[in-house]
Amino acid sequence: MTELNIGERRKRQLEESVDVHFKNIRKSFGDVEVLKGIDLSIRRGEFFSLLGPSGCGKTTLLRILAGFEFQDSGEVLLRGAEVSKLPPNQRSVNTVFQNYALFPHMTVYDNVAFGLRMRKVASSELKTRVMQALETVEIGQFAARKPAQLSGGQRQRVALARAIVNEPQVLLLDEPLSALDRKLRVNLQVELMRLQARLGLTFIFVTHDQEEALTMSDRMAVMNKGVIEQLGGVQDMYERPSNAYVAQFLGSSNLLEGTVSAAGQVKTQLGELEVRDPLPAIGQEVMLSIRPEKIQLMREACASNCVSVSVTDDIYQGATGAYRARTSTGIELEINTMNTGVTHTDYNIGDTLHAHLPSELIVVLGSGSRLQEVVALEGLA
Amino acid sequence: MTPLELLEAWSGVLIVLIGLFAIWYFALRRFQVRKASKRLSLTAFLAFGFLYLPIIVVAIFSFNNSRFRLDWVGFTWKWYAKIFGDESVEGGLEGAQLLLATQNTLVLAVISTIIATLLGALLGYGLHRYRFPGSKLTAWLMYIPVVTPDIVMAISLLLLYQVLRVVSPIFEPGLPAMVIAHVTFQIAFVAIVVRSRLATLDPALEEAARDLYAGPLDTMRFVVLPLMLPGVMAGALLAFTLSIDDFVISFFTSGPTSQTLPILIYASVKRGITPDINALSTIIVAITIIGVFISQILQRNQKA
Repeated sequence: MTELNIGERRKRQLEESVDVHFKNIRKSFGDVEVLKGIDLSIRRGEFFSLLGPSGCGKTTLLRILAGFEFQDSGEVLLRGAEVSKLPPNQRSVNTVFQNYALFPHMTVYDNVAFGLRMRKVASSELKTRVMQALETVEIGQFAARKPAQLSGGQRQRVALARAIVNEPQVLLLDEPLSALDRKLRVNLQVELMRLQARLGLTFIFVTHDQEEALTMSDRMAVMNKGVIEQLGGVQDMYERPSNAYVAQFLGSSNLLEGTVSAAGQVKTQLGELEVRDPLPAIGQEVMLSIRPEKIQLMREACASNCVSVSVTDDIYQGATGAYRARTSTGIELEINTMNTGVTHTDYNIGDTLHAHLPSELIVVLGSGSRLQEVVALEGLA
Repeated sequence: MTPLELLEAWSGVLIVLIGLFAIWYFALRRFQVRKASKRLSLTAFLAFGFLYLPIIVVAIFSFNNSRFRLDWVGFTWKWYAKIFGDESVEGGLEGAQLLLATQNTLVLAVISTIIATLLGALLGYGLHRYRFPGSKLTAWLMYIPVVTPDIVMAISLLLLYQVLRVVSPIFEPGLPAMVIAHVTFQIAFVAIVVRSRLATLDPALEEAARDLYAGPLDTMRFVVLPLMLPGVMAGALLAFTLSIDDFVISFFTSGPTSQTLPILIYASVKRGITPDINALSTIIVAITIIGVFISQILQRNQKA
């Protein structure tokens, strides 16, 4: 009896820490099924990213949460309460739109005050809260301007202020930085993270930019063709992708097909490789992944997991450099190096070198790896 | 013919040509046209001149101090004075007739414009906002009144009214029937202008309003209406000028006491053109041009 009570309480605590819960969400537009049964919980106060290529369904999922689209089946819970049937104006979430969607006929002040006015907030409180929100995003001096008189970055701040002034339970951000140039985007990324930490709001951030997602989020979900490929903390997902799609979408990866030949040994096109990751039974086919920056190039031979290669391409990228190197069996490896010396060019095209693939850095991908999709992804790049 | 007589006979033509070249000359100076494009600009100017010449001639002769002659006698405001009620000026239209026709024209234009603007704005918004079975067909049908020749529209309405007369006396020839007739062709113009205005707006604006706790009515009131208002006003002005201008459809649906200005002018022209008709036409053209001009400005401002 007591045990049951403890179990109940624990379950309740878990539920309370969940802000948004998608239960088996399905959605089709005409014949195209854009969401194929999404199950996802987003924790209170976390910075969560939905990452995926365009058309993967991430924006649709966000729009279902905001109330702009209705799912064909499944439930959306906001702090435990079913909101599926509610129109957008009755949901305690606010959206920062991709192209800001500021009201062009209103001043910055009136834009930000809009939500509070609709909720009939008393005028004295309204003024304080609007000014506070404008100060938070550092655009207090533009209160009297129209959106057309602002730069892209300033409009982005207005859009942000207009959403956070309402103190929503969840803030939805639909690729809010994609229209800005790179420098500004990086600055705003940092500001968004600080803002989120200060306000303690749950942020759900939709993006197709893996770097942006990795930089900003606590956790993220990589989506592809209406399903979630992997869900987890950002470091986990980068270091331990569960399948080839995620490995390729989050940065680049060297993928190797092989067969388990002995305990901790995989026979690949590169030859026998030692692997620390748990492996399936001997004789099974597996796919291995190793990040380009984890491979070490060297002139002298190494002890284990060493492959002899010749350099085919030398790509200078400023802070980093990339080499393409080919093995005698014709397999091409991508290897990244940091430009820490006087110049990055340690090796020349045609050099015969040794590539060391540390056994502890090789990831065994799950059975869910689909080669076809990897090929498709490479076709896009 | 003595040279003096010849000059007198050609004086009207000369005045028109001098006027045209004066405008061209000042336009060239104002816009600092390069030498090479001067000849081109002259061609363009002559083409436009050809289009507007009839109107310019009417405007010039409305200031001619002569009852019958088509040559220049002297400048006068008296035909305008007559239109605005100066009984002492001899010749031309009867004052009472003119007053009634003006009144009819304005009543018809104002009422039909109000109705057409309301309905046309709703139609434009509906077609923009919703996809329903037949919405494409409706959008396409909207252009039919725009391209149908006035005379076909007029005869169709005349026939329809004869049929509907049994139902209500509203369809007897007269002002109410004319209002309905005008509304039928005005709606399309209003809807087209409103729709093109809405097409320039970000569809996310309505979503943003809903997201910020506005219900459907508040979204309409605080976001959609203010943003489509320039389009609605432009459409209304266009509808108003179309109604003021219209002769054919009014002619076929009017009754004995519902003569409008265009009908009155047509009727009196048969007895010879009098200078006060020139003055009246000039005023109508001026009102139309101002209306179209404001309509254009409203449509241009919406982009900012």
